[in-house]
Amino acid sequence: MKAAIKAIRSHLAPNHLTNEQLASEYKGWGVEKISGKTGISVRGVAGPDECASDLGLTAANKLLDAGVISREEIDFLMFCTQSPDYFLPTTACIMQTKLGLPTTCGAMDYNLGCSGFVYGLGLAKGLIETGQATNILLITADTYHKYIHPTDRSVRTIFSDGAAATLISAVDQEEDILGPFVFGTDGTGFEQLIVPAGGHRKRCSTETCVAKEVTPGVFRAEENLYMNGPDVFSFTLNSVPPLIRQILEKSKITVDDVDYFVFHQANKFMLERLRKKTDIPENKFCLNLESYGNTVSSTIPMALELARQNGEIKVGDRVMLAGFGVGYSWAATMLTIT
Amino acid sequence: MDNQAFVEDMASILDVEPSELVAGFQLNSENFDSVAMVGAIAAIDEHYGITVDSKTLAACNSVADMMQVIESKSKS
Repeated sequence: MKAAIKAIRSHLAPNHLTNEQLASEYKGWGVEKISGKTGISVRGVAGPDECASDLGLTAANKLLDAGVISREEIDFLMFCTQSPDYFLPTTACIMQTKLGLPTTCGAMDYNLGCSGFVYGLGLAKGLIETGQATNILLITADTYHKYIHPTDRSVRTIFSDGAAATLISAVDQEEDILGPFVFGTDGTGFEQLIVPAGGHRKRCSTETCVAKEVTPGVFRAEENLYMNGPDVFSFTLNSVPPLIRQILEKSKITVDDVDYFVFHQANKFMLERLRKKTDIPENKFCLNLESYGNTVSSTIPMALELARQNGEIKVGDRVMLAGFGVGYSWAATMLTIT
Repeated sequence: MDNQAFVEDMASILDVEPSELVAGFQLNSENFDSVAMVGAIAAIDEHYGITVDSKTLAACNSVADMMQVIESKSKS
């Protein structure tokens, strides 16, 4: 038995934040500058009562209503998020009931950001190919905008609230469809992309909710998302090229053998630099964040779904997936389109 | 080393004319914000094949400081 991706459906939060809205709020940041640097036109923003799990449920219901599989056949649910409903219980347990999945279904959350989808595929492959599960529903979803201070343009222009549901099933064949995998971690960068307060290391208090002016016009509290953009950029320039080399070596292939590359859709500027640095031809490189934004762990499945719909990838294609970001954490794999 | 192309890129990042970008050009929090720093990291990577970390770059007060960082990193 081998694990294969059978279907993907995604969902962007219904409130949209456009470049025009952002340009009207931030002096000196025109529509062209924002779209030129980020490659993004529209971002999703979850409503006040809308959680990541709600976005994930919408994506999952789209997939389950598509007739690819019945709810009774799902025997494992994995939920990748950094915006859980509660400290406890596990959000995936709540989602199991809301989705009408059987009580024989395993369910777990895991906390990863931009590398989370590739990690989920690795875990799903392990569960399926060791006979522990047959049909896994992997849901990725985040609502970073709930963490973002409205004046913090550097993160508000990039991040987007959205979700993706991916069905990974056992198929009867000898050859690998998914894999190999390469994983990596460098926790020295943990403070460079972080929400400092709200967990147990620093609980919310009357002090942590006070926003202070960090640069002219930009305010941030410790309960808000902080991103050291230059450091995150240096990290990707240092870690992604070796990641690509490692996955090519492990797969015993070259760039020419890969039909399409789907990297985490962070922002256009970063992706263009990474593409040039790794010598990937422009026509094989996915740049698909204009109408989605950076949805953290959902960018890769969203881009895959769109590339399949647009005919950019077809059955039999060998596709490289690479996720990298918060942690710092990174992962890559190869996928054959079935 | 492609100094001229780098200077042109940096001038565009800092929103000045290339001729203004002399060694003594001062970098401060207003002209060298996080977006400009990301641009500088990319330009240094593209033209010199060096990845400069953000702390080192943030410590540069002038273009001369930046060129010194590039020179010492190129040698190491």
